[in-house]
Amino acid sequence: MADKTYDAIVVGGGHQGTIIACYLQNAGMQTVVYERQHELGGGACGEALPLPGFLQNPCAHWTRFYGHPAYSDFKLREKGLTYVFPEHSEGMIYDDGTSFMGLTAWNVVDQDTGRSEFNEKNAQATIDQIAGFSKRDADVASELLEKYRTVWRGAFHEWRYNPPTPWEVPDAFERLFDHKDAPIPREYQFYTSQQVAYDLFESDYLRTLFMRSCMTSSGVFPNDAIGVYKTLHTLGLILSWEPASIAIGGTHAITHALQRAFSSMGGEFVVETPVQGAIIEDGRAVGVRLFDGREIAARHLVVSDLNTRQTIHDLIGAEHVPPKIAHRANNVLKDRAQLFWGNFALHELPQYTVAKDNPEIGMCPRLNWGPKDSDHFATRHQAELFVKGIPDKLVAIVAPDSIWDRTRAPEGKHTILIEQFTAPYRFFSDREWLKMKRDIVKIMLKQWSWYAPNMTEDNLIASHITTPMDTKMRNLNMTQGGWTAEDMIASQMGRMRPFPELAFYRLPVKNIYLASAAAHSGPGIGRGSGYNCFKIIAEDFGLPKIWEEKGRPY
Amino acid sequence: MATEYDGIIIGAGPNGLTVAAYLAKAGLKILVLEKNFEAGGGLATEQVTLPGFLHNTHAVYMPMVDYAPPLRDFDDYLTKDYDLEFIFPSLVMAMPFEDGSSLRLYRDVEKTCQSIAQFSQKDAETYRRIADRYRELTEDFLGPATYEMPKPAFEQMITLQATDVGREITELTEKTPLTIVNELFENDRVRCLFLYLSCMWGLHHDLEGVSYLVPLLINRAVNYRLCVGGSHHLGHLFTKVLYRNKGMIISPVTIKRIIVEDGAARGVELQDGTVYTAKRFVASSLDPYQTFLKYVGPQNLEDRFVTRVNDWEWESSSLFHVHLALNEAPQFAAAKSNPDLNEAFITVLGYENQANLIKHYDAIHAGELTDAGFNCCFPSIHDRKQAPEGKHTCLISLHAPHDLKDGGPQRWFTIREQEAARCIALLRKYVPNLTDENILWHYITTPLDIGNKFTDMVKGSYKQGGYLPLQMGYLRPNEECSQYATPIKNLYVCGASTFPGGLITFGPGYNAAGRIAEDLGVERWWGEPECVTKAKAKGTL
Repeated sequence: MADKTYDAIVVGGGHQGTIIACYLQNAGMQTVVYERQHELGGGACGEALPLPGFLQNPCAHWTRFYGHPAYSDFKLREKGLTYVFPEHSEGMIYDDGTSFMGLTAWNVVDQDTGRSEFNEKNAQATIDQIAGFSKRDADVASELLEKYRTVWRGAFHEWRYNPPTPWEVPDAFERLFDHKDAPIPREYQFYTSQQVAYDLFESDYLRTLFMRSCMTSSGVFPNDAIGVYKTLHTLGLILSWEPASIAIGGTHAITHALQRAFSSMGGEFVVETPVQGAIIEDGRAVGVRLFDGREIAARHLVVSDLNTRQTIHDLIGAEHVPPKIAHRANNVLKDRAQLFWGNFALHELPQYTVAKDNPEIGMCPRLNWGPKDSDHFATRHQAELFVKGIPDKLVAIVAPDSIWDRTRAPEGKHTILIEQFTAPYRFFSDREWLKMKRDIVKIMLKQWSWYAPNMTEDNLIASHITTPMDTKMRNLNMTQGGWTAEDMIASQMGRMRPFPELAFYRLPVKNIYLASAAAHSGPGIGRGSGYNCFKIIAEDFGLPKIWEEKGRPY
Repeated sequence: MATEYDGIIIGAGPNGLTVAAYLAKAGLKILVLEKNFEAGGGLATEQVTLPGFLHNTHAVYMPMVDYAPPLRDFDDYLTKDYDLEFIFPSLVMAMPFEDGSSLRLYRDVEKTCQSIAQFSQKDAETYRRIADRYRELTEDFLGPATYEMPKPAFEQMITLQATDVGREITELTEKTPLTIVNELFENDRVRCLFLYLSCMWGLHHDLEGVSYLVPLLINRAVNYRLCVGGSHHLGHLFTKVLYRNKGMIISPVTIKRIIVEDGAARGVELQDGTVYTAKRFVASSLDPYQTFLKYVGPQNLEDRFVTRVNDWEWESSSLFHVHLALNEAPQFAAAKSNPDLNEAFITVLGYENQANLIKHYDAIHAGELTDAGFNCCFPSIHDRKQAPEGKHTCLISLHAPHDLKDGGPQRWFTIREQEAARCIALLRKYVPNLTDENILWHYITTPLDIGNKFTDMVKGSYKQGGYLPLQMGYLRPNEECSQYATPIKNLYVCGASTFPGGLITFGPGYNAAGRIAEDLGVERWWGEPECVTKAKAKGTL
């Protein structure tokens, strides 16, 4: 006899769990979410770090959740999720005293829907900056922008917010291989980040920035194959096409808005309550068993917001799935997207010496700095990370959040996020990670002060750096401490995510579904796995199809 | 856009949430606006050292919870539907000394007496007597009075004079905490412990007029408890109660003003221009300065009232916290003589005698830092949910001034690590295994940080304002607002700056909810608290 009964049980209240919970509840399923941590949100979390009065995103940071269907479907702006959209976008300061800064080409003009408009002036300003160091790359950037504006941009929503297509059916990007005006080179399906960077650009400026941004947005290294989606997405970042939007109050505000939508529709969430496993009878999931011994029945279905291994081995149990799937679930790659990641609380903002050329570069919400040496970055940088944890020269990105969001620091003070990649968790012991957690602060400060001489100990109030050890302690699905949990390499994307047998949200046991970032369209706030999984569930259970009601192709 | 509500409440701390939950359940459409990204106010639990370590960064011990009516009125949700649970460690407070001995306050009176008897047989007898008597004072008046409207001084005096319980409370009120403690006890160390206990929440040791709190605090100490899963869990559950009753919380928002038209509150405008209209009321859980001067605006108030608000005094003593993530459980040196020490809920250390403690208090009022003692707590020993398997959390809580004599409050930004290191070194004297190796990470909160994090805790005033005779009871925050209504029609106050004051009592919120319901003619779905009924029947209340 079950202790409680719901229509649908969501196991794991991470970002995708909170999204699908809203859709299920909205479709009339009485839904409950069980979460192990004391707060919902998974990667969409926030803490009063490095000290009280300041706010830090210990996991997800750059988000564009206003583009996700849930933002308008559940009127999240009215529930406290507000974005600001700086004109300044991606920038980079190089070791030789040069710099590059882009201005947002598409400005959001309607906060409620996220609708944006093309800004010719900003787009041109970015291209002019490129022309300052390479006429050729400026021409390439113009050409890419035109293709993006007229053709490619339209494919993003369809690709993200629909289940992957079967092998024989081209997806939103694959259909563009043969586009007459804006063909995407087919070989880009298999190119590494370095190959794309070198193929498109001649300058070390953009080659370095492309490879760094590819890491920033998906955690993959220069010699990983990135696929078409990642290629175009990264171009959108480095060429400042889409705005670098900032959620007021940090990414946990996204979670709260979703939770409020869910709660106000009558959904129930339970925190600090880990699920032990699914209850499976006659090949179908009928509920879950909690670690405290209680049994919760599911009238219709169970949804997993866990990673692949957790879903197959811990939640379902290997004995309920074909041996090949149990085997493959153990072998999903997880060795990317490990970071030293955290905030510096400051008395004053960094004063960059390159401001003499680019006066507003300090305003960039995504400001990279490091050597202008694409060969070093493409080859030795990763080797150093994997061997030493901390490289000789950092290639970092910083985000001066408090310029844009005054809720993140007390009056007159500032907080800046900094990111440097590192090795998978298992490469070092906990003691070594704790030592690096301390040591990295001085190393970051030292190199930062090359670019901004006021970045001294005196300017630093406090800092808190998250390591892969912290990440895997916070989110158990991120086994190796990488924020993508399961790598976003081309061979683990789309219809191959996490591997072909599990790529369509249904699982080998009936009435249990995979909604997490382990499925297409992967990790990152605002990606589509929870929403897409709901589409499949709606199909299976004959639920109302909100996307059809709203007349949108995704 | 849904911008019209029956009632808007400013601040999602325990009091704001209490008003919201009662009135939402009464059928009103309620909106709570909160500045911080997280609701719960002082009911905060955060992973600020290493993930998996839950640190209660503000409220921990919740002494009034067994009296608080919201816990009973919402019990169907909180403990039946949800999972609210408290843990009551049996050794509530321990005070180890350098010679390896210790004084211990247990929930069990006899065990406490045995501990005190090792220092003074007479003091043990005294404790046995006051434990009983202070329980009576609390049950008959101090507890229930928390959940009733404060009475004007004269009226209150008449009631108190009518019973022996009341007369004793009046007598105590007129003494200082120091006098009360020293009249009761003869042994210096016993005096030290009970003075610490009496002044732990910011009562001035040498101030007359508010010492009716001393018997309450001594009685409540043995009722200290830990919320399973961390203090925030209680706040979290109250937000769920609110959502279940169709209420809404929006955060993080920055308020620009309380909209006042024709002398009445009509809503709230945010900095970004968003306007939320309140058809029936606005309630502010902020301090009087912010509510009236910042958000209502002096132009809407009489000069006399503005002066009164400007007279409001913040607290002279604030808190400095260090949170530790530990690799292994603490082993107190004094546990050799008494193994219970390792299981203590709160340990007060660094004071060998009462003079040490008074020196510390004097230093605080002079804005100085000294080699002072503090209390510490290891919540994960009692609640395994608050740390990863085998690991532990620690909270060091030091009374400290907000305004430093040298350098003012801003100096806290530069000396935070240094002061934390001093505290850790002192703790290590009592807990030798608190080695650098054992401390995995630490997190510091200074008095300056408290004000930066919670805007209503100006100058680190965690009770929104000092416990002074002219700021208590019917005068909190002033005689015009202590019945929760204000000179502005439809505007109510409901925070810690109203009666009965700060800490997790739910009192201001509960009383304000009653007042608002009465004024609006909303049906009061909740009954009078049982403790109040009993006390009234006895004639003590």
